[in-house]
Amino acid sequence: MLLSRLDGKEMSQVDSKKKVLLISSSGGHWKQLRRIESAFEGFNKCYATTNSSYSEFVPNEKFYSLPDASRWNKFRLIWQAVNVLWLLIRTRPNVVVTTGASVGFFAIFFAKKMYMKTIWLDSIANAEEMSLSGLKVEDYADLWLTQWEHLEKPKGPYFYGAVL
Amino acid sequence: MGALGKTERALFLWGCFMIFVTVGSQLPFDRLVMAVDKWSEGNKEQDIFAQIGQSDYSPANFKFCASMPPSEYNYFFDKASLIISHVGMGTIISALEGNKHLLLLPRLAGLGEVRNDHQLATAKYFSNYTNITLVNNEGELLSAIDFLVNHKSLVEKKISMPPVSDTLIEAIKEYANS
Repeated sequence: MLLSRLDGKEMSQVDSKKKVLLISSSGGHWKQLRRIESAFEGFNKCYATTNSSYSEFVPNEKFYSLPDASRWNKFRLIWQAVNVLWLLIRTRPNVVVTTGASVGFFAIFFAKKMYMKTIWLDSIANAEEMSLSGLKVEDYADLWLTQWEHLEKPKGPYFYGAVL
Repeated sequence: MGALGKTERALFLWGCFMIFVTVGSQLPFDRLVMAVDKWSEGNKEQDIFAQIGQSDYSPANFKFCASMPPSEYNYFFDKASLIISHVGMGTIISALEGNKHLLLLPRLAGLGEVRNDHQLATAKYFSNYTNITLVNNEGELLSAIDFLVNHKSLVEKKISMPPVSDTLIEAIKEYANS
């Protein structure tokens, strides 16, 4: 009923409010994630990372902090997964994009189950083989990318270029 | 010990050639910090500040902190002429963006400094950048610091940040909008 009353212009504004969640661990993954944000021009952007003070980097965007699990402690990982799932439920993005690591894996895994578009860009630091999370995410990432041409395979990961 | 206060920051600013040591926010990298500490012992006039992670080792010859908020980190990164670090992508990208010379020592899995040896692989691929000096051990690190502080023009040489690949951005854009 409400939609039927909107004229063409307003309809297109509603359409254009697609939401993207840019999510990664802090440090190098985050730096790389920031370098591909220009691909999401016109999207509503939400950022999430494992260091709460990174909100300083995106003062004008929605920012969410997540628990760190850098040492791959099993309980920290489970807690992190729960937080990522809750974040997806709260923010309901159309697209989820990540450069890694565990936090990115959980985001892609749950997002796929929730019929969101999923993009994995493996870190440029993985020059000789895909990261552990990058390999595990194969079945859940719609767009599954490496930043090294020699790591590209016929059925993915695919190579389109690097962040530097 | 916390990060520097305002006065100390100002002192750091006044020196003309400063070294910032950073090991990332996650794991300590004592082998690197100890080597720089050793170098610093014989070169006390050189300004050094270090971010060393949660470490049991306390450098005796320069100021340091475990970790710091991004704004403070950026401050030291900007003011420094030479960055000494591990082979972390965060540091490498920041250095390329900020036109900084990097002296890098890879973390080794065999010494428990990292989960796997991806830093060795990364190092190999980035060693051809003119602003990156790569060393393999502590001995080489000491010689490299000596060399770099004595060749300041080399360290202060400007380089340009390689751009993000257009085809990568296009591929992501196309999929996101499909």
